[in-house]
Amino acid sequence: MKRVLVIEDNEINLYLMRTIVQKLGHQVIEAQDGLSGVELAITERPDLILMDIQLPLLDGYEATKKIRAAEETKDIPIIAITSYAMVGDKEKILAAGCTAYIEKPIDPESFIEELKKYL
Amino acid sequence: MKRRYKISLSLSLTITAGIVIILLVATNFNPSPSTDGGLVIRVGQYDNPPKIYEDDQGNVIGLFPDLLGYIAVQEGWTMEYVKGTWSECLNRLENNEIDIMVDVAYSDERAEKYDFNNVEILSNWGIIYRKKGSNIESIDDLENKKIAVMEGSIHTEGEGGIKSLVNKWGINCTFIELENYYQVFEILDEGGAEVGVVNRLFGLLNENDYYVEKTPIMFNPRKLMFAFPQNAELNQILIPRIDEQLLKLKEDPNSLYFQVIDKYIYGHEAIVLPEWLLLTLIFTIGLLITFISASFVLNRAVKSRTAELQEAHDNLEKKVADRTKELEQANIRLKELDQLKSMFLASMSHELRTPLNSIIGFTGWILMGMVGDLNEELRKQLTMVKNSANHLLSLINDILDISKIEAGKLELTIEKFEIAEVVNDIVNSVQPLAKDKGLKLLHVVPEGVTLNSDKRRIRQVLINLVSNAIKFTDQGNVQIEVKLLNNNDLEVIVSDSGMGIKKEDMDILFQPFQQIDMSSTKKHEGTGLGLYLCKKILDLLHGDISVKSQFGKGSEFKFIIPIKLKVEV
Repeated sequence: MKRVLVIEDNEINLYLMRTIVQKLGHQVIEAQDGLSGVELAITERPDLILMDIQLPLLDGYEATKKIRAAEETKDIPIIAITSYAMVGDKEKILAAGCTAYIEKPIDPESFIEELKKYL
Repeated sequence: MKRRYKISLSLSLTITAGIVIILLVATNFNPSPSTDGGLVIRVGQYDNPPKIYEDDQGNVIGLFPDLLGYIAVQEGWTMEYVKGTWSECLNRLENNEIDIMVDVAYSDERAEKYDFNNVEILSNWGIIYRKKGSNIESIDDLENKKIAVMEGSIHTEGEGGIKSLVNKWGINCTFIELENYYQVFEILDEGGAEVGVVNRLFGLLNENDYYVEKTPIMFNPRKLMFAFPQNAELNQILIPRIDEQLLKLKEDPNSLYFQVIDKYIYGHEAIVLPEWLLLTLIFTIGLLITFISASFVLNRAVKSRTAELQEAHDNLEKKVADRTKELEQANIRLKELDQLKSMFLASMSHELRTPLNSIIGFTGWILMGMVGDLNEELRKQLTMVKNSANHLLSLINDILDISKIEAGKLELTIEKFEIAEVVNDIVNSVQPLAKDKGLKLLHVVPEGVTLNSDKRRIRQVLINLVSNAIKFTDQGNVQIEVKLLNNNDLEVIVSDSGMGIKKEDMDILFQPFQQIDMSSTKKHEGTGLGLYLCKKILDLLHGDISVKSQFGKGSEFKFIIPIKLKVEV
């Protein structure tokens, strides 16, 4: 069993991701804004981080940069969950330090496939 | 004579003639004789223009009456003219029936009969006239000719007269004695005499009215004076006063004396122009005055119209300026509204997508059987939910893309990729759709062709065209063909054996929110945004899209894009 940090401000999406991750048999740690996400990442040191980009307090780019900047978390894989509206920001996302990105809406099948690469 | 040439310029001629006419009209009007009880003087009057004659109103005018009239006014005399022929007048003078006779040429002979004043008024001499065309040139030519003369004239009788002249030269000729010089010219004109004698002033004035011309024969120069009855009492007053006045007049070059000479002799000389020329002059002056006044009136009219036009023009310019300002403001507002619209659509589509993401995510999750087993009906209905949600999502995405493009906010991501990779990927993803409808999905794509462009957007266009092709084709095949046109351009053709497009529908194909009316068949899904979006995206990619179709047989969509997209920063 691995531990997955999900940083997502939308309750329902969070619930969906939690459901899928738990069904795969892993533990879910949750944060609903960028700032607490970074804190939890450093304190909990999860095996994988699912990062929404549009987040309150600190957006996904900044949060990713902070996580990468911290010695304890610099190697944790981060999958960005991007909205379709963010098309063209792929470079920006990868440049910020994300390992991969998944576009919303989440298709459970392909989502599971992507998760399995890191878990 | 010199004067005649001086006024040869038509303008000065016109002006001079005009002035002369005006002067003539003005001065012809003589004041009536004064009746203030001063000295009343009887003056002999005969007809010999321009020296003395009557005008149309019966006023006695001419060089002598004008001068005498002036002197009379100065001296307070009243004139009383006694009319008669030349001979009658001389008789009256002899008999003291008149006090003054005008226009009497001085001769020693006459001086024995009459008294004369001392200051000469005018010089005159006799001239022999002939009928025009006759060849009489000298005194000798007068031999055996009939000569018309005026009875009692100084140029007829006496020492220097024609009679004594021909006598001296020993020439035989006949004289026809007449009452006045007019009759002399008349008889010449009619052929009753070969030559005639008149004084030079009369000739000058009247030669043009008759068929006569001057000969070079001139004789008997005479001073023209006033004559008085011999030893009359009144002469003591009249002669010194007249002489003094005449001397005064002759001293001043601007005096009435010179004006009168000018008016009656040279003035008339100037008017001895052909009648047609005179008429033409008067007509020209009339025309000129008409033109000048007309042009004045027109000028005023034009000026006032110009002012009106200028005002209208100014008003119009002000209106245009106002309207332009209004339009500019409206334009700014429109741009603001347009941006607002795009922002609204962008943010709305984002808000709409968030719940849609959950719907799609959860239906997918349930359909995977992760929540529990599904019976057939539940699976079927949930699939419908998922498909509808996916469709809704694609519509929202299209709207978002279009609003981004229209707001100029769609950013391209240029990267290197192989076109074959994109085509294969699309074929894989739409293959199930084609299979479901029993269509053959074919593709021809050259390997190893690398593009430097926006992979995602090219994919978006291509998948749109292929989905459309599958959607509108019920049997046969759908084909994707990719060709390298040259080293710079790539051509992509998506063709199908579907229903095709009517000619009249071709124009609206790439317009937004247009879906071709397919009344005979079922309504197809779609917002009518797909092709519009394709065109917009291809514009951004510096590409072009075109379509060929035969209704009922199929369609062929073709787009061409540059292999290397140069992006303006």
